[in-house]
Order: sequence, then C-alpha cells, then structure tokens
Amino acid sequence: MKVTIQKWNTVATWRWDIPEEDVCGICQVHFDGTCPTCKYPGDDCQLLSGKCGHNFHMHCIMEWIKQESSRGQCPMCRQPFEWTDQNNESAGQIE
Amino acid sequence: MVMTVTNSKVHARRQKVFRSVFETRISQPTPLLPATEPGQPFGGPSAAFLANTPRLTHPANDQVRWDRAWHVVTSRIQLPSSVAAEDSFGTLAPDSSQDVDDAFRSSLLLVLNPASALPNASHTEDILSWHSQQVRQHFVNHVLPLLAACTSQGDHTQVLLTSIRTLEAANRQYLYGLSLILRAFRDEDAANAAVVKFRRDLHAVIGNSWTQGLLDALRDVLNRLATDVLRAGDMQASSPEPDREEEEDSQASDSRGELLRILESLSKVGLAGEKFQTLFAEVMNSCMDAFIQRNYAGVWTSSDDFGASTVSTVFSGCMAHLGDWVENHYARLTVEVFSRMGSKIEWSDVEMWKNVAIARLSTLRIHELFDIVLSWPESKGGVEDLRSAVTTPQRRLQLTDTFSAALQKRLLQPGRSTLYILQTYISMIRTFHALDHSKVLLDRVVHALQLYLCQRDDAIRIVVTGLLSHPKETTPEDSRGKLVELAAILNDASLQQRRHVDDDDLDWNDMLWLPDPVDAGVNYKRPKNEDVIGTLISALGSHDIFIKEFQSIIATRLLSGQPGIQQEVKVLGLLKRRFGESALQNCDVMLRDIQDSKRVDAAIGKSMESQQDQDGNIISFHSKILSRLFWPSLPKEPFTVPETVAEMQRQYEASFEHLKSSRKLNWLDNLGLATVHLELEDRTLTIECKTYEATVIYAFGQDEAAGEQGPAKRTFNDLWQKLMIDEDLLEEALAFWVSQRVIRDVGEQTYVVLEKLEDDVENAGADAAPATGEMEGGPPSPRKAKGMSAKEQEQRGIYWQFIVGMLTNSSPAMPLAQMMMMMKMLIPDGCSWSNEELQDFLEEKIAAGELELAGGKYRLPKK
Repeated sequence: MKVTIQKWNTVATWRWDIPEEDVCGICQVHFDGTCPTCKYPGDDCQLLSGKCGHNFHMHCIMEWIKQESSRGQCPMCRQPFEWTDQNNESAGQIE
Repeated sequence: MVMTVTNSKVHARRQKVFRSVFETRISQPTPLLPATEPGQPFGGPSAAFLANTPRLTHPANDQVRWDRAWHVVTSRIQLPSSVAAEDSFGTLAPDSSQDVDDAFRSSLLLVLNPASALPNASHTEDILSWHSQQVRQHFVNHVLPLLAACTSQGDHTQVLLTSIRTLEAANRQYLYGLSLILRAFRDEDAANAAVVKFRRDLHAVIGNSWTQGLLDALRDVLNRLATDVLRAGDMQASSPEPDREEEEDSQASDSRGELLRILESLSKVGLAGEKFQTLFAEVMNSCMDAFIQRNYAGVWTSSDDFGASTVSTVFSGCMAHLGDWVENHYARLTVEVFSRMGSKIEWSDVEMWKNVAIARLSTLRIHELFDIVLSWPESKGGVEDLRSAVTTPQRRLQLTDTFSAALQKRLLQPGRSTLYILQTYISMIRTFHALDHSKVLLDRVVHALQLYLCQRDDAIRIVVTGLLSHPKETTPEDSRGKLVELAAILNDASLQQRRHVDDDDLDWNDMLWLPDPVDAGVNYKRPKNEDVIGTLISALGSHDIFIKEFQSIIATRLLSGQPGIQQEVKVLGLLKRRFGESALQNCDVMLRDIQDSKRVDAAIGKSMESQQDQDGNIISFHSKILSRLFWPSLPKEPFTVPETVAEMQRQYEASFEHLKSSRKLNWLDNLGLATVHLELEDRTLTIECKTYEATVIYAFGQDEAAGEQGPAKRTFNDLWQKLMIDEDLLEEALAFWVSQRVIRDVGEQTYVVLEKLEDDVENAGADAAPATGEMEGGPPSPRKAKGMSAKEQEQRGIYWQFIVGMLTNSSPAMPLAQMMMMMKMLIPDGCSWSNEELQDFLEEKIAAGELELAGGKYRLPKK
C-alpha cells in the first residue's frame, strides 16, 4: 500500500516566547491572555520585555510608567525600566 | 295487660294529635250524625222536599234539614270510590235529571249558607273544605297507585304521557265537583277565590306526588327534547348543506313544540311546581355541558364565519359562538318554558348564563391546554377563547394548577426525550405568550419544567446545536433530533427586535402601559415580546453553565473544518445582547482566532516553499492558530507525525515566528483533519480522516521498501512505540481503518493491510467479521469520547481534592448525602455528579485504599 498525505489541516496554539514566568506582574493575568483593557490577545495586546528581564503586558507597563510615582522603574525590581530593542518600535509609538 | 293499656292510651293520644291537625271527620261522605230525635225522618228523597219547606224553626229541625242537604250535596259530588282504570276519570258523572238537579241546588244553598238558612243547626261544615279533603283522600288512595302503575311502563315518553293523562282526568273530575258547588255561588269573586284556593290545594297535593319513576321519565324526556332543540345551535348546524340544515331546523322546532306541549299539560295538571323547575334547571345545566363538550372539545380553530354579530367583539371564535348560542337558543328555550309556567326571565339572567357558559368553556379549555400547546399554532383559536375567559386571579390559578399537573403527568417523564421536552417548551412559550403577554402564567407553570430540564444533561447541547443549525439547508431528516425551530426564529429578523427594557417604567409617553398583573411575583419585569430563545435559555439553569456549554460546542464546530462561521457569529451576537459582552469574550476571541488564522495561514502559505514528499506530491498544509487560554480545554495528545508533515510544521513554525515576533507555536496534532490518498493493489481511496488516523495509516504505508513480503503487517505495540501515540487514539484509529476496510484485524493485536478486497471476504468467516460488524454497529465518535474522558479525569481530580479537604478540615467522617450537598454548594462550578456517581467514585477510592467507609460514613484512613 502506498500512502500519500494530500492535505493536513491541523491546529496549533501560540504562546509568547518568554522564559518561565507566566503572569504579568502588574495585572496578574497570564501573558497569553489580555491585559484588563484589551479584548483580544496577541497582536492587540503585545508584551514588553524589560532589560531587567521582567515582562509585562505592554498596556500595563505603559500605564505604570506614566504614573509619577513609578519614576520610570520596573515595578518588579525597581531598576530603571528599559525595554529591549525588539519592541522599541511599538513602544516609541506610544510615547 | 298493663302493656296493652298503655299501648292503647298512646294510640288514642296519637289519634287525638292527628285529628287536631287533620280533620279526619269530614272524610266521610256524610258527617257523623248527632243523635236524632226518634220519629224524625232521615234520608231519602223526602229530605230534599223537606228542605224546601221554608219555616221550620225548631233547632232539631234545622239540624235535620242541614244533614239532609249535606247528604244530598255530598253524595252528588262524591268521587267514585274505586278506580279500575284510568279512563274511569275520562267520563264525568252523567247529567242527572232536572229534579235531582233542583234538589241538589236547593240543598247546596242550604249547605253553603247554614248560618242564614238554618240558624238553629248546631252542627255545620264547610262543603269546600270537605271537597278538597275528599279530593286529597281520593288522590292518595286512587290516583297515586295509578301513577305508580304508569311509571312501570318502559318507555319514558309513554310514562310521562299516561301520567299526564291520568292527572288531567283526575283534575277534570275534581274540578267538576267544584264547579257543581260553585254554581250556587252568586258572588263571582268568592267563586274565583274558591277555585284558586282549591287549585292551590290540589297542586300542592299533586306537586308532592312526584314518584321517582315519573321524575326519571320527565328528566329523560326533557333532556332529549331540550338537546334536540339546542342542537340547532351546533356549529355543524351552520354547515353549508341546506337540506340538512332545514331538516335539523324542522326537527328542532318539532321538539320545541313537543316540549312546550308537555310543559303546558304539566302546568295544567299542576306538575309545573318547584320540583319541575329544579328538574328543568338540572336538565338545562347538563344540556349546556353537553353542548360545550360536543361543540368545542378539541375544536380550536378560530373560524370567523359564524356570527359574532350580536355579541360584543371582545370574544372571538368559540366564545362568540357560545355567547350567540346562549342568547339565541338557550335563553330562548328557557324564556319560552318559563313563560308557560308564568315566570319571567330577566336579561340579567341571560347575562349570567352567558358567564356560566363561558366559565364552562374556559374550564374545558384549561383542561385541554396541554393539547393546545402540543398542537400549536393550529390551536390558536383555543387560546383565544382562554384569553378572553381567563380574567380573574382564581381562574388564572386554576389554569396554572391544571396545566402544571398535566405537565408533570404527560411531559416530565423519563420516557420523553429532551428534544421533545424542549419542543414542547417552545410551544408553551408561544402559547402562553398568546394567552398572557405578561408572562406571569408561564413563569408559574414553568418552574417544574426548569427543574426537570436541569437533570437533562443534553438540554443545553440540544439548544445550542439548534441555534447553530442552518434552517435553510436542513432537510426533514436532518432536522430530526435538532431544534431547527430555534434557528428559524433566530433568523427571523422580525422576532428579534428587542427594545431596551432598562428604563421601561420611566417611559411616560408609553400609551400602552399597563400595571403589572396582580398575581405577578416580586422582581417582575414585563417582557416586551414572546422571546422564545431568551425564555428557553433562562430555563436551562445558570448562564455560566450555558455559556460554558456554548463554548465547547462552538469550539468543536470551529475546529471541524466547516467552511463558514456566519451562523456562529450571528448566534454569538444574539447571546451577547442577552448575557453581555464580557461573559462571551472567550467566544469572541475564538471566532477572531479562526478569522485571524485564516489570514495568517494564507500569509505563511505564500512564504513557505511548497513542500514535496519523496514522490513529488504536494502537501497542502494549513493550520488554525488558537489563543489557548480562550478555548475550552483542548486536549493535547502528542504523537509522532509523519516526517513530511513534521517538516512542514517546522517550516510553518519558522514562518509564524518570523511573522509574529517572539511568539511560538504548539501543535495539537490530535486535532484537525487530513486527507490521505491510498493506493492499494486493487483500488485507490481518497479518505478524509482525523490527523491521528492519517498518521496511523501512514505508518502502514512506510517501510515498504524494507523488504516485507506481502501486505504490510503491524502490531499494536509496534505502532504504539513507534508513533508514541496514546493507546486510546491508536485503538480508535485502527478501528476506523478496519471499518474502512483498509486494514484488517488478524488477531493478537496484529493488523494487516487489506490489499485486495477479496482477502477480507476470505477471512470474513474467521475473526475479521465480528470486528467490522462491531464497528458498523457503533460508529466511532473518537473526539468526543476522548475529550469527555480527559475532562472527566480532570474533574475527578478536582473533586477528590475537595473531598480530601473536606474530610480533613470540615468533619472527619461524613455520610454520602452530606458530602454531595457540600460539593454541590461549595464547588465553584457546582457538582455535576449524581449521588450514584459520587458513590461509585468513592467506592473506587475505597478499593484503592484512599478512603474508608465506616458506619455509613466516609473517612480518610488513619496513617
């Protein structure tokens, strides 16, 4: 018998490619979920990774940074929060 | 001795008492004579002669004259003492000769005016009372036996007629005597008064002489005639056949004539008294019942062709017909009857009858309501009847009580399928909406149904699949087992106009505003339209459960490779309006995932270099990319996919990561569909199957170059190790291919490719046949079963944790019922198990040594 696969319609799930921690330190929602203000995960609700190694929902951290009291620090480690180059583009747009 | 004396004393006293009430003395044709002087003549024709001699003032003489006159008169008007046959009344006493008549007249004058004519007669009596007394006696002694004899006849009409004839004859006889007396009355008023008095006495006697047989006969005859008369008002009577109508009309008027004739003679003989009226009322009452039953039972069509002209337009259909009937037939007959009896019928009486009739009809309808629901919408007329009749809270209560009972008895049974119950419920929603826009009635009856539906696990599934089905595509065969009605309703735009009800009561300009019904419960909100879907969903228990079920069903559908998702979007939109956006956000994301992944898939497909397998065939590879947190638990059962597919996956993954930065893919290989092309020795097949099924058959196709002789042979364990696939999936896949007759089971968990179909036939007798037969008998539904068991497993884990926690923290030992209650109350999503399921589960745990049962209570074993 000769078997040929003609079509393969499969299903996959996506996840953010980040190590270990799975919930946003600010909103405590899973990264693969949405921040409280968003409806759709993924493209609509990006992540922002800090150089300090902490990740947040972009909307969450932007909200945080906007506050005076944050003094631009990462809420987890209190180091100045700088995001990695990868997301520079989008972050720049928001600022 | 003493006894006898006292007995006779008592007897005498009784006699005395009796006499003081009833004048027995004058029952004799001639009064008892006081002792007359010897030598005085007595009796004989000379008495009359003597009576004529004017001046005799001796008291004893007066007395004698009186006695003689009395004798003459009484013997003249004396009734025949024995009656042999009824016609003995038919003839009056023959006219006697003139002189006798004269003698009678003169005697009569004496008897009538003893005070003036015979002032000295010491003992006189009233001839009129004597006569009526005599009549009474005669009636009791002679007529009553005759009447009793009449009733022994078989035919009721005959009984009635002979009885009437007998009474008429008796009447004639009695009145003749009276008329003789009355001749002597000069004063007409006095004569009339005497006649009236006598008649009253007579009627009193006759009126009390009803025998059971006569009553039965009269009831029967009246019933028959009244029914005949009233039958003219039947619905069928207004049929277009003129012949029949005429015939019926003539029959009705015949009956009417007969009835009135009987009535007249009855009232003439004095039988039209209170008893008769009671009887007639009873008859008319049962006639009304019979009429309603005959005409309206099961007739729910609201035909507008029969006259609603005279009746107010509030009523329609049967109600109008009934009102018309009461007015034109029922009341007419009654009025005629009563006018014969000298009473009058007020218009208010007719109104009352109408109300009674309507109440009866509504009772009938209330009892029919369940059937009305079942045959909705053909039964609209019946509901209309009810709506106009059920107005009082009491009647509403009666309606809901009766319907609840019917519901309990006829619908909420294990024998009824959930689908049937739901369909009935939909009809109920509509019927009750037509009946009562306020929905109060429905709310009252629906409670039991809701409770019952909660026990049916498949209820939500049926509703959701019904909502999601395609109303246009479905053929009758498809629609069986589905609630296509829901889809039809959903697609009917006119039914979906839901107004906002938030500030309902504040709308001062709403001219159609009505106060809430008196029997409305607390938190009552007037619904705006019939809202079948909303009511149905609200009956299925909490929204969370419904939404959860909706998610899982929609997930299955979205992953099933159906082309469009319009129906899902539509249903989702509807549900959103009902439950709010946030409750259904997951579903939103799911739909969005499907749409997005189509786009992404297209983009990746373009960027990917087309992959060819070793023979140059192109695999078309597509994937759906899901947001995992938003889908109901997606079981992941990894296995080794065919090499070519794995290669495609790697490429796809790379493309995706390129497209969406810092995101990765996880493959759910067990979900999804594949199309495989099989080239066997005698046939080629192209089969669409599940991905794991494709993987398994692919494993059969491989290694052909490895020098195997004959058809490829694989054992279960080989495949299992090679593919690293879940046993259940493997089993399902093998069973699928066996049922497709691509491979066959040769025993010992070994499967061989069926290169030629004939091979299967050869071996059919051995062991292949049972396997295939089995598969045909129970078509595999792999995904569902798999999904359920994984879910179940998870659930059992959660429940077990809960039970352990409960036994540790709450109480060290608990009976089953208490555990069940705690679980139902405290587990966030509720506990879907029944007592039996929990018991089974606990028994398993006991068997595993993780639990102990002591004295009917479960506890954790001591360590």
